[in-house]
Amino acid sequence: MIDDKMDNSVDAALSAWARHDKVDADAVERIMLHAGQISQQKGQGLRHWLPWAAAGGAIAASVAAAIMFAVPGTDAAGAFGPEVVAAVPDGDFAGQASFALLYTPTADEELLI
Amino acid sequence: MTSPASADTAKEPEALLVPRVATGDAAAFVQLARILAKPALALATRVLGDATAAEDAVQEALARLWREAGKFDERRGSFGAWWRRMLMNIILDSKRRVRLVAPLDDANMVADPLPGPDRLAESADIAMRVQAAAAFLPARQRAALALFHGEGLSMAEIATALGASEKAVEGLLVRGRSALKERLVALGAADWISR
Repeated sequence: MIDDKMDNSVDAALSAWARHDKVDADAVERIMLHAGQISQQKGQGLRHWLPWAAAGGAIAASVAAAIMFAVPGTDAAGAFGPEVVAAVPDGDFAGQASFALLYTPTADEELLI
Repeated sequence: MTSPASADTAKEPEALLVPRVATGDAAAFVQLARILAKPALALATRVLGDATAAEDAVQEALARLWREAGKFDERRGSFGAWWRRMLMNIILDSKRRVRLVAPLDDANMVADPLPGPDRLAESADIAMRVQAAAAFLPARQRAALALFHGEGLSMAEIATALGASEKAVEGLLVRGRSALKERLVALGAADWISR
């Protein structure tokens, strides 16, 4: 009997506690001030799309990288130095020498420059 | 266990503002914040037992609402449920952060002389005493009790808000109420509680 009465009292106390909605009015005003400030920050819509834009950029970069590096022997890959040097031994040295003679000034010609 | 009050989630005027907030309508957001701030602060204060932490939690929840209003999908549930879930996540995360320094504050709350009836209305007096006694409960038990007895939510609604199963919520309520009753008895509540 006493326990039942206590149970009812606990329920009543819990109800009073949980429904007591008196809050600090100054705190509510500070919260509203903060809400007003964050709502003035521009670009809420932009932030909404930012993850999509970032994901699109990442995909585009991945595709570009795959095209450049995934296929060996293409022009893009072959444009780097070693292949040029490797091509020299079976190349035409005479042709290269005549090219050099034609366009390299002699010592006398250099004096005239 | 049945809910002590009916939760009317069918009509939510604030839900009408959310689509405007999602498009970046600042005026709609301020209007929505005006509706949500006071009850959110009351709930956060009950669960956290600390006015400053509660204020911070509500500010953080509103900031997240401003950022993420576009994610609300009314086909997946009411705005009230979505907002409560967001708010409770932040409150409980906040509770974990302040827990390191909280025990001393909680002890002080209980040890403080309680305000006399001449200074507070009776219900406010009881609310303060229960708040002091509830300071020793785990935050999730306190949250479940606050949502059940204060907001009048069903088990399912509380489960959604806390991200738990209905069975787990029932356990939180039973254990929380039992521990609180013991605490109140120990504090000599039998005299003032049944006045």
